[in-house]
Amino acid sequence: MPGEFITLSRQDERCREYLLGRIEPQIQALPVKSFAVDSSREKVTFQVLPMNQLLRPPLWVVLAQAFRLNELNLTWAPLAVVAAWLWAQGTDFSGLVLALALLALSGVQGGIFLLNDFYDHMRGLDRLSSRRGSQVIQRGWLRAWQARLWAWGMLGLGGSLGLLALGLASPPGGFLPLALLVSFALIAGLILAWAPRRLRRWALPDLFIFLSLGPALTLGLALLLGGEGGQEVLALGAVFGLLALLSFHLRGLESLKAEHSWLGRLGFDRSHRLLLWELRLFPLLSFALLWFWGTPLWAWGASPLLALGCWGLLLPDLQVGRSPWSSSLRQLGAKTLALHGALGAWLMILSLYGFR
Amino acid sequence: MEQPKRELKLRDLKIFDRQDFPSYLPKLNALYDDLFSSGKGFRSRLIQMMAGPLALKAEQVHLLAQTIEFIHNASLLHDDLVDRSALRRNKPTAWLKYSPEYAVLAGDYLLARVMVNLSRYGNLRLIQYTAEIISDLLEGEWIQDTLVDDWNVGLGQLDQVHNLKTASLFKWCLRAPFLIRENYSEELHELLEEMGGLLGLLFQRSDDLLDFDVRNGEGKAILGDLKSGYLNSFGAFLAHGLSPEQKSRLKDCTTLEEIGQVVGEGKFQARVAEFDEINQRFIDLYLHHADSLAELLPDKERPLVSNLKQLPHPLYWRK
Repeated sequence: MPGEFITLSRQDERCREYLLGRIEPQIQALPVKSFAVDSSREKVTFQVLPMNQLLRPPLWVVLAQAFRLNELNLTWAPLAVVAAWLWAQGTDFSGLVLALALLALSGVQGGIFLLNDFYDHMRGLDRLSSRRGSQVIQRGWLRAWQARLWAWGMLGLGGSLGLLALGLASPPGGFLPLALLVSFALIAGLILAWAPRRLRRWALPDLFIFLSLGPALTLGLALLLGGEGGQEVLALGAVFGLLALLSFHLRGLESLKAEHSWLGRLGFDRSHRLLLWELRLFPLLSFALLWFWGTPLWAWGASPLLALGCWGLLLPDLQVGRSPWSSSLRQLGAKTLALHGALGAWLMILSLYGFR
Repeated sequence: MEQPKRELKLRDLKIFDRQDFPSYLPKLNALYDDLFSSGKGFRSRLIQMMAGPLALKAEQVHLLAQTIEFIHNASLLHDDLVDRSALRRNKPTAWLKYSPEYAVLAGDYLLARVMVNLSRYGNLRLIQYTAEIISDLLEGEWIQDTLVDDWNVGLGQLDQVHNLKTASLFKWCLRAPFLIRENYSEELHELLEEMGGLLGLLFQRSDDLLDFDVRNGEGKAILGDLKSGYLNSFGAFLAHGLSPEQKSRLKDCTTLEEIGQVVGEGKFQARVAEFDEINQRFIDLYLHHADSLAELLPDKERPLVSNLKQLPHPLYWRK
């Protein structure tokens, strides 16, 4: 697509306006290069295009990509299993609270992802790697200020629905434990969206991911729906948390050169070996977690699926990956997410029918 | 020992001189005679083009031109052995004609010579940058080797490889003349780095199109990359969106007719046009950066910008 280029210094107030997309509505400015990223000397080159030259899909497609709806199973899957299990245990919970929790989680998760994309765009980090984030801002599908608005809107909506769910819920042991968990998850999510590079080097995001998509999530959901926060819920959360973390690590392997993470410090060979062992051991570890602290039904139900997924689907792709640039590694993150969703669906079905 | 001054003659710039290498090492000078007697010397011509407006001295131009050609040709000696290529510039490759050991050692010797020459000159920043470029070159070659037989490699991944392997030398050609003049402005060098990167990208992509016989006026042998199990940038672009079955058939193609049957003849030409459109955008971006460069240069150096602006179009479009 033809278009003019303009390079602006960070000191130039127009640069921020161009980055935010607060320019004439009939044109769009796509940043194509940043010099001296994240420094006071930074200059950004924009390609200025007429809006009618941009091929933009329908808004619902844009928003689905912006909020990364394909990753919703990270929160939906644990919720589905916890709800099914509590119901099978005879816990009486409100369908409205469940629905509100589902929507709240979706809003918060999508909002955090999009907010992360916004900050990466404003700081120029998305110009360092073209596979970072949802790419809706880089492609000109959403202006940055619109992305920020949508992100905070979704966070606000998710938060409001979450508060409503809290208000309608009757958690055993009072609201304090639940309120603490929710606060932790929100703060963790916002820090992750905004995390400076040095935080990533010390595995703190890994810990946040494991907890907020794992035990903290399942425990919070169980309390919200009126169940007890027993060891079964924590064991289930640990399995989902580890699987979410595995997905995060496998995607990190691909961007090892650009990422400033502890995986990057290990280097490709050691990270590759570590992940191979993670995949080999994960089904066994999950079985042990669910057998000793979860339920035998989950343990026996999860294991074949996880074994098939890890050993049959993921391990071959990881084994043939010879470098961070190997194409087989690019598919690993998406396949792990699919496995996460499949596990949730399967355990939900088992929980519903296993106790009949 | 002080080197005798060499008079600068732009067209007669002699990169290789037997005097510079020990005659007691058998076959070494014969190997270099073969190597330096052919080739377009594009990179050293780029140095000469930079030299005029920057008023470089003859010995500085010779040093830079020789350095870049030594590095480039060292990489060719090693590449041909790594890839097991039989021909280079329509002649038998050095590792076949002499031996693999001699090819490796001759390449290493050129790189060592570069370090000797630069350290004698004494510009530490230039030495440091040259060492970084050599390591980028090797890194790119290393990564490229891991992508052989990877038929799902993406254009983005290949661009990263080419940025290291090909573009690094172009970046050096643009930056080294300023470094030897002791102009170390960060802003200037960042811009030159970006411009060099774009030139390298365009050069590589044009070369990759040649392999599919697109604008192959030189009559170079085609489909060499594909036959070696390597999907080059246009190959990756062409393969994007093909089914696994089509990709499997693509990798077995040995002629353009077969490729046309796999992807569809009309589709092939359409993809060439799309690829050209994308790369024309990079040419436009390069020209924009050249305008920005003009603002950073003093008046007497600004003619350099019009020289640089003439480069990308013939480099990519081969006319």
